[in-house]
Amino acid sequence: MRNLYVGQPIDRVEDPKILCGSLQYIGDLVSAQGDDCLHAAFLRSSEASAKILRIDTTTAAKRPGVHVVLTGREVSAFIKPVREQRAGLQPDFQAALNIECPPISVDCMAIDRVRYVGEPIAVVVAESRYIAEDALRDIEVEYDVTSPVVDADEALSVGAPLVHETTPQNAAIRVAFERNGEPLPHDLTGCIVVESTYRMARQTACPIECRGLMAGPREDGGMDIWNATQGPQIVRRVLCAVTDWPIESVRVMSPDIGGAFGQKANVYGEELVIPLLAKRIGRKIAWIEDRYENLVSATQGRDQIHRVRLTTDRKGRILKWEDDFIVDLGVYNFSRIGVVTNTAVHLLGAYRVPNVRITGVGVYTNKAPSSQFRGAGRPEATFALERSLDAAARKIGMSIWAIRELNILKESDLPYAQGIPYRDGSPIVYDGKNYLKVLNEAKKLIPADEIAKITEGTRNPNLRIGVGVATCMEATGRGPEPETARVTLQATGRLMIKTGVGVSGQSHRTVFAQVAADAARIPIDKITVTTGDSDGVPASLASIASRSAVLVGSAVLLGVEALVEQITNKLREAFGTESVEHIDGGFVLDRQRTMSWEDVGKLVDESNIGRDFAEAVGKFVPNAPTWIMGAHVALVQVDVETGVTKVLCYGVAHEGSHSLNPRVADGQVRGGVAQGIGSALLEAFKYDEVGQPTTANLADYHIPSSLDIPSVRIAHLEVKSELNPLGVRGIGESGPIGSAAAIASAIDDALVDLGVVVDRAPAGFGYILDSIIGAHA
Amino acid sequence: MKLPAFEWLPVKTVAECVEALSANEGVELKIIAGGQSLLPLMALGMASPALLVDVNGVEGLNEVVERDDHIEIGALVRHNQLLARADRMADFNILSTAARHIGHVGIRNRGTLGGSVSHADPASELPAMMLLLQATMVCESKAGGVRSIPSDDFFLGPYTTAMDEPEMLTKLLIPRPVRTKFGFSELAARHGDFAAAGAAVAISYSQGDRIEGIRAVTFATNPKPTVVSADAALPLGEKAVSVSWTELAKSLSSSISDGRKRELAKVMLSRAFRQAVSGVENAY
Repeated sequence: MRNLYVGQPIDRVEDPKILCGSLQYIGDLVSAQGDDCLHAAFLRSSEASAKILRIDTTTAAKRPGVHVVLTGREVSAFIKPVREQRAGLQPDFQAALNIECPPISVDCMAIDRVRYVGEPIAVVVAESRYIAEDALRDIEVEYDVTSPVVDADEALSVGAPLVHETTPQNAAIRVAFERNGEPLPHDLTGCIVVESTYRMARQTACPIECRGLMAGPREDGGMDIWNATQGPQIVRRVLCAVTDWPIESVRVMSPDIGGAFGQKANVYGEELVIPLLAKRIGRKIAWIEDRYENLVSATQGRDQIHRVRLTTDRKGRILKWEDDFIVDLGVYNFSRIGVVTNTAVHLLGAYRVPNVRITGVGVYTNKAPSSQFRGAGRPEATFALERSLDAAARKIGMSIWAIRELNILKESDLPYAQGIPYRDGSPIVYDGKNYLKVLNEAKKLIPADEIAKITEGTRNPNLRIGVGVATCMEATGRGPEPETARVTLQATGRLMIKTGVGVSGQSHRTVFAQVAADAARIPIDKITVTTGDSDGVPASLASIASRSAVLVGSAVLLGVEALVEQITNKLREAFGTESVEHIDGGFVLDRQRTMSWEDVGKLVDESNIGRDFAEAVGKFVPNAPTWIMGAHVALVQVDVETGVTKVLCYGVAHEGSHSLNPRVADGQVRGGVAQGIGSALLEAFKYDEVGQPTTANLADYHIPSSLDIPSVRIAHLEVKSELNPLGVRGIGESGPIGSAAAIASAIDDALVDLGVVVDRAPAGFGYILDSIIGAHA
Repeated sequence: MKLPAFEWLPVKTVAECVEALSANEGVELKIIAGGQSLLPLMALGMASPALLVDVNGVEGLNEVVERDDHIEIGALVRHNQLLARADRMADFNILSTAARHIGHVGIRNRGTLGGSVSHADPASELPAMMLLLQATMVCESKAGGVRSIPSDDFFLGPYTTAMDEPEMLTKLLIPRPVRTKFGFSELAARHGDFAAAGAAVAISYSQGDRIEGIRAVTFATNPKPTVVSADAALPLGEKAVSVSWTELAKSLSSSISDGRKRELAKVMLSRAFRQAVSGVENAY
């Protein structure tokens, strides 16, 4: 494959529309329907845990402009509960990690009982959203409030109320593994042992665009659905499972999406009830989520407690690493196996760790559901391990860099087998090259002379400067679910590439066109890439898990290669020659006759050779995930009188692959770091003791603004992956994974003379002030 | 988060407005100007007035008029006007310093001084500024005509002022400060957020550079913006260089009951004093 486009920082085809405000988000599609589309609104529970004694919808149903009002119980006559989408745990993986995970099913709307504030309990369909919301106010609900479970530790205690009767002790999933690679010294005297508890708060993705969909019944009895989802085929599969509709009768298309971050890879009751109602009423119906709904009912993430012990020898060499962690999953988490096991396996970090003992438990509580929020357990695991390394270094009196240099996997260690399988059943093998080099590159991103200059330039004694570091690992591009791409040569000579996942800013239409143009050896403007259509490709999952470049990109490559081969064969057959060669811009027959793609395209329409040859499907599923490693470095300024931390400089050194488009790759890292800075300093979704959310608006839930984010310096160390035909590694989640740990490390450094040790994220100003006072007490 | 149904009544003059307020006595009504506090409250279902009297079209209330000994600011003057006029109102620069901390550009483009002062959020900057600058609030109603309320008597508690229900705030009169230096400091989780604590100070000097008066206000520290210098021992007659401003900040903040707020108010006061004395704004 030539590399004319791949690797080039070409302009994104998405940009003109983004900059001119002419992308078509779900809300734009709905607006364009005018009065043809009805609007739904959901009545949501005001209680965290209660029995519903009575719901009276009679007044609401009579309001002018209201078409239908249904309670959860009424809806349940037509729709089954959502059963988990997992195709069964991979047996080797389940055995190695001792996974216990009782299945649950989740009703599309609450039936007789509510389990979190924000749970949908009734739905109104009306001429407009205004009328629908007015009708919601007409509905009377009588609750019998019961004790909620709001604390993860208490959820596990004997006698705690059960969030789901079928899950004893609220233990949604348990994992445990131990690996004893080399015996510990008999006498631990002189060894360094650090123990602590680290917490990362409940956080939410906060996409600028909230959720939304529009469902329209077709004349043939089928259903067209436009849904701001990362996984159109997942939505289709679940919808057909709960309605018994035939798969081929439902088409799910994802329009342009304004941010997703895993929140839109979950399948929600609202996404199932709206198509059902559209079918029953026989009209298009839209539901466009508002910010309150998004904050209280769209899936959240993080919310972990790690109780850890790290043992090193007196020089700082890691001997044993132990962690017992708890994940507060909220009311449900369909990705709980992923989130909890991701946490467990990423706790192994980028180091040589001879002995490991890890247990993890995910618990149900009466809070909003959770899912795989960007990073999905990795930022939390990184925080626990990296904080512990800093603690050990402090106790020994060595630098935070030195302890990492001592333990990190070096060129001679890699590739490195961890001796346990990943979720797809493949053995975990870090397929990297030199993590020490990455660490050293990170150090150069904020050089010592710059640190000295900033420190000396800070004359106000209340402002302290500190520098911190954290390394992190990520498994990207996993199987076993495949991605496919349908490549079609059109009569005009254009290549049409259909892909299946929904995109929310990852520039798929640009980067996959780069891949296809190089594989087909044609100019990139002869290629059109479409995304997110369930009917476009035979098999697709979602734009999740840093997998799209690896899986979709490889499927596109394989699809174009297959098409080229089909065309070559067809030309041989049609022109009776063995000599057909694929060249720049087309094909050459018998070393003399040149046929452009346009010429070949004409054959599709004009000749009688059949058109099957003009379409090919590429399919790719990797044998194992391909790993990336990063080292994050942060320079912060902490105001000791107010506790406010400002990130002044930030750098990410990164061992990934070559970039399909360097600007797109850098954008993924920068956006991820912005999210990570929010995680580190600002974001905490809070509930009070009776399970009422107290941060259900953006004045109380603080996401960072441009004023909080410095420019991010990036160093790429490129190592080709051998695990996919494109040779690429994922990058989508690398930004947020190391940020909270690096920033906490920098705050410790800034406040070293005050004895402050950050043990949680976010480290808001109140917490820092408390820590300063606490350290003095 | 759609607004509940309400009647909307636009008015063009102050007379029309006070007439409407009087005619609808007993109706749950609100005057709407910039709407930057009221509309979110309505969208969240925390306020549902039956009638909104819209004063955005009232002529003559969106101007700043400079007089010899004071300025008159119309109740409809937007926060951004306070920023934009900074160069022409050098004596009142503290207003633009404070206004910079209000929300973001979109909010400052719409939010009004009269709206902010009437809303009387204890964490708001501008009510505290009115208190610091000893403004006079000019209110009007059909029955009571025009009356003036000094800022010291105006703010009664969270979201509560001395205005009567059918009254509207029309303008704010601010005396021109003489030989006075100001300082302002605010702590918020992010720039533009509701303040966690804030302070503003005014130090006036005699011809001989001796301190003649000190007025200090804190906000987001008590149920209403509060003058903390009223009954305090102040270093009057001293020169600024010989005053321990940190100590003064500590003593002025000592009456604040919440411990964390007290600590933060001390820091904010101390920074505001340093700013007033040095003329240099601190990083925070």
